[in-house]
Amino acid sequence: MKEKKSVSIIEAIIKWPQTGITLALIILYLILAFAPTEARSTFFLPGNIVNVLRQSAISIVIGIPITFTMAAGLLDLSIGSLACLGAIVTCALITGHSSSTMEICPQLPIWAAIIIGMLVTSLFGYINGRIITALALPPFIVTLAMQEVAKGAVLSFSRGFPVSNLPASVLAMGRGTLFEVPYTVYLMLILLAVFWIILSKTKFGRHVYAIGGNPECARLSGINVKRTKIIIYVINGAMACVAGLMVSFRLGSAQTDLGATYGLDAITACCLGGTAMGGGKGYMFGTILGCIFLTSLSTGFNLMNVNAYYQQIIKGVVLIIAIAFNARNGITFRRKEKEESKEQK
Amino acid sequence: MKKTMALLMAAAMVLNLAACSGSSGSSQTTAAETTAAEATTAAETQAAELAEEATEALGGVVADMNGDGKTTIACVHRNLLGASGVNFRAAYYYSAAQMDDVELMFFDGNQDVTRQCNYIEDCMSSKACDAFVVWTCDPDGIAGTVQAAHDAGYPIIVIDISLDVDQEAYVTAGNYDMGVLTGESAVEYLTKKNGSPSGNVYVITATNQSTARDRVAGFLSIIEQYPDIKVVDTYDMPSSSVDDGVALADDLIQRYPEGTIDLYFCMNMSPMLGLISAAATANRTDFVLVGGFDYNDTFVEELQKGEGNTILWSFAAQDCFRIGSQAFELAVEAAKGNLPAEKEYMVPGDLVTTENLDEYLENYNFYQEQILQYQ
Repeated sequence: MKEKKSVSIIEAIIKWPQTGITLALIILYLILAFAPTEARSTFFLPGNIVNVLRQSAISIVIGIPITFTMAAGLLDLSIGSLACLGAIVTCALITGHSSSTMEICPQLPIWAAIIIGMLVTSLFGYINGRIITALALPPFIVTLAMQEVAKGAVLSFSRGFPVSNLPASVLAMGRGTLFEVPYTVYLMLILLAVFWIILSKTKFGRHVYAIGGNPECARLSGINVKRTKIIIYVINGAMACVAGLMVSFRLGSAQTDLGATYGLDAITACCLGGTAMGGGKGYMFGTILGCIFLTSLSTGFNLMNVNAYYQQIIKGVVLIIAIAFNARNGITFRRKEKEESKEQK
Repeated sequence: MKKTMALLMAAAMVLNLAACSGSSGSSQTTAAETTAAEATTAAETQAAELAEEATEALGGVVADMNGDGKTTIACVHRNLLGASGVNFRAAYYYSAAQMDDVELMFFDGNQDVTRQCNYIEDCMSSKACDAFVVWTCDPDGIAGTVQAAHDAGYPIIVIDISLDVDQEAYVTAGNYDMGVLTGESAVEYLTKKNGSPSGNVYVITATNQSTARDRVAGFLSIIEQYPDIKVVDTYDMPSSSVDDGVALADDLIQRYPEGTIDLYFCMNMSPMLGLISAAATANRTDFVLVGGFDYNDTFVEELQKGEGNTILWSFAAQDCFRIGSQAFELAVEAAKGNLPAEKEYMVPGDLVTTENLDEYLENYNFYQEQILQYQ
């Protein structure tokens, strides 16, 4: 009996969707802790832990809605461009300028500018969702096209120049800390808590999983599939704007090339965290681990002065291993479950 | 039956051939027609020889390539994601507007070399233009297509990023010289800080970009003259994205605690923007930055704070408007058959410090007004 219990614990650990990413994180931290480089003494300093958290905060804010999206069996490649669009629109409305001399829009109070920025990116998200559901087009194609539209919108609105000269109060939001922890990390934690509850405890969250598992079943069981998908893309738009502002408020300017890799990085983090590409499975905790892993990997390598070219190769290899691990895990246990159910019958 | 059919077919073919040869033999051509035909052939041969000579004289390129009597320049652009891209484009349009009968075709590759190659091939197949101005995002990727365009007779003017192909001229900012200016500025700071030209320097480069390589080479040519100035390390940052710049800057701030680095050299503006924000977040003022190599409002804001209140010691800025207009003018002349006198044109850049900031801004704003009209 005792032996059975211990086996089931091991099985449960292996079966846990975040086992792969947790192991990867442990191995990475062990390497960093014992590597004969400067990274050993620097990586685990409080200052660097805050640094990792600060960098992860942005990818987590993008990763949250991407978890919803992937859990519902959808995809969003436009989220990075929407982050850039949100940042450019909001910052331009705060300053009234693109570049230092070019007036491109009226100047508004900060809060109004943020709301309008979020509304604009949410509208883009709504259009994404509307096209995907109304025309039954693949999300990959639609969001790829929307990525181009958003990039074009950024360049035409800003005339190609970054938006600079943000007021000190805005910089304080982006650079300020409370108990040595950046405001952006607190904001990320709040958003994380809210969306975690939404995904795991609400009807909407269950609808997301149901749509990802089997959209036809979901529709037949009374779930408004189209509306749910549109809401997911609207959330993507709004969260993209938040992420764009987190970066811009810290930089003191909104750059026109911001966010280029946010979408793919977030998808990578979600996959690492066990979220299924095909939908039906989505783990907020896994996404957090995935984001922290990718940031730690990049920071650790930078501290060890590993060439950026090798970093890219290693990131790719890690992603393949993690996905393979998750897929194999799933297949093995599905097979076991089938065998068990057969035996029971 | 089959054999009979085959024999009949063969007989018909033989008869047909005989009839054809008979008709050519019996056809009568008048003497006047023969003379006119010979004269036409001689004129065509002479014209072809003259065109060949003219083409050889033009180094293989052809004047008025598409033969429509107008001058059309195709500008193949790398991206519109920064001051350089926007200013180059504005300069093309500004220059085209100043000239009569010159048309401009503008293509933005948006960082995609395949797209750039397609544009060039489309222009060639449709004979839409007479010359190309090429600002590439991938020198190796585009080389074959640009060489093919040149071989077909199109004049090629390369801008900013060098290409290893036959070309009429290469117009650039003088990146090496700007690197030298930046190196001298760094030595000035280190001497002021440490009493002698000594200290620790960190270099951020991008070995995949010829512009960055030239800037770093220029910078190091000065630094290496001072044995007490130590290049602590070099980081190769292949991407120019601001997100990567910010992430790298945050990590560097952690890696090098206070007092370990005196000066960071940044090969473009992404790591410089990142280091400005990272230093502000970490309240670090123990080092300064040099480089940047482009205009940016944030750099100006920093210098306006005054020496001692900013970590930006100086920034180098290429004169994109002048580079763009010079490249366009050279392309127009080459398209008309007037090849550039030189193979390489260096447009000097500026080194901007707290001392000459106002003077620099006066000039910059003048050009900016011109640019605004052509946005």
